[in-house]
Amino acid sequence: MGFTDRQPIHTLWRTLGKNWLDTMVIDSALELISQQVCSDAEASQIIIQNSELIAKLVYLFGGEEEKIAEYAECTWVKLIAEEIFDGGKTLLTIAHLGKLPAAKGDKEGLDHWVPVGVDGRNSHFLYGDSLCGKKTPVIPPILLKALEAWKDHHTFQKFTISQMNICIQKDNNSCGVCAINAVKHLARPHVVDVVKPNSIACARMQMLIKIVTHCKDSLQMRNDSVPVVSASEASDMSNIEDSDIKMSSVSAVLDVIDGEFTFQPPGAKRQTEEPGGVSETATISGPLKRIGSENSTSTLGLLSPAAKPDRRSLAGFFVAITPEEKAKADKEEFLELE
Amino acid sequence: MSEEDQQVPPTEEDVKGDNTPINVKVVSSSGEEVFFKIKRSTPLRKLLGAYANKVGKQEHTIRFLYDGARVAQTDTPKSLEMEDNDTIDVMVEQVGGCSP
Repeated sequence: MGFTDRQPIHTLWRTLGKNWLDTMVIDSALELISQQVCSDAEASQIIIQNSELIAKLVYLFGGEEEKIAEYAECTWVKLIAEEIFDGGKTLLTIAHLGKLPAAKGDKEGLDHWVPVGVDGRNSHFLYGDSLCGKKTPVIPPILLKALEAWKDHHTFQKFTISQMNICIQKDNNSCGVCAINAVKHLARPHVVDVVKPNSIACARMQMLIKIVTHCKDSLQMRNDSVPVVSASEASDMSNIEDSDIKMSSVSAVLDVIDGEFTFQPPGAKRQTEEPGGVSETATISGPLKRIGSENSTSTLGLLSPAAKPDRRSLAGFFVAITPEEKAKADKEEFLELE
Repeated sequence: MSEEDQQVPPTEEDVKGDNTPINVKVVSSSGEEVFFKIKRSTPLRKLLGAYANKVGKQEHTIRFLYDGARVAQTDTPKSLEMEDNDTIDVMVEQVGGCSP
């Protein structure tokens, strides 16, 4: 597929119908928006980041103790922070509220996608919620704590909370579509409007068409043996707008709906498993065998000849070892699977 | 020119070799760490499978992030230019739709 993780296209099945969207779809949509933003001079101050950023920030700064040492090693998060807090850019992403309860007493939050942003130039935290109606959305305390702590590492400027324009959902399945639309609208307000509640199904289908078109174009380029995407091609690819839907794209979508994946490159192995199934060349099977102390819960290794596993297991590719065993393991011969 | 002069000193890559194993730290979203030793040419799909097996989760419910970008199943440490003791973040696949 044409996205960073190159997953087969059927993994985007949740885009169809009234299915709840998963991380795969959300991140693919964000990746498309990111490409569109890159080719839009008016959106040059926008950074689009995948949904994992918020999870990482919550891990680093949302707990009782901030993980300063780990943040110091987390280069990619620090680079984003520099662009926002030093460069005055605006970060836009989507967060999942499953582990972000709305109230302090709650253990878990909703399975709900919300748009989140940080506006470095105007010192705003941006937040929207498709469930809030006319009420002002409230950022989950853990998320706000994480954003505040992240900001405090880079600037003493006080940030306020600003509400993002977002479609209010009237069903029980379209928070992901609303969140994606809100991010698109904030990134490129001159191009994308906030979708209306009665147009969400249309917006969902347009999103699928864009994703499929992107995949198709990527595969065509790959089949044409074009090693590098030229600037004009990249621009064409990222400029697909709602009004630019072509007939070929529509037929492509229908093909996918019918269960046929027409975009497999010639000669490629066809994926036949269910979504999320093991890929066609997977060779891993059976449990990993423990070596060393029985009490060592994190010891997991297959290096020792005495513990040589089945040929179809993991030996030869990698082993999992504790830090203490790492140095010892370095001295041992690395087994190769024939 | 003498024979000795024609000898090109080995590069770092030559010394390392393409398949020299490297140590990789896989960190879950709750901070738990698992260390792996993996060849540079081994697809990270296999590492994902091993990690899922180790933590008792299904492969499709987790995903790897390296330097903030999603890792493709066909990526290798070599293709991502990973170095010894680099960290891979594990993220859990989430689903959301929500009832009003």
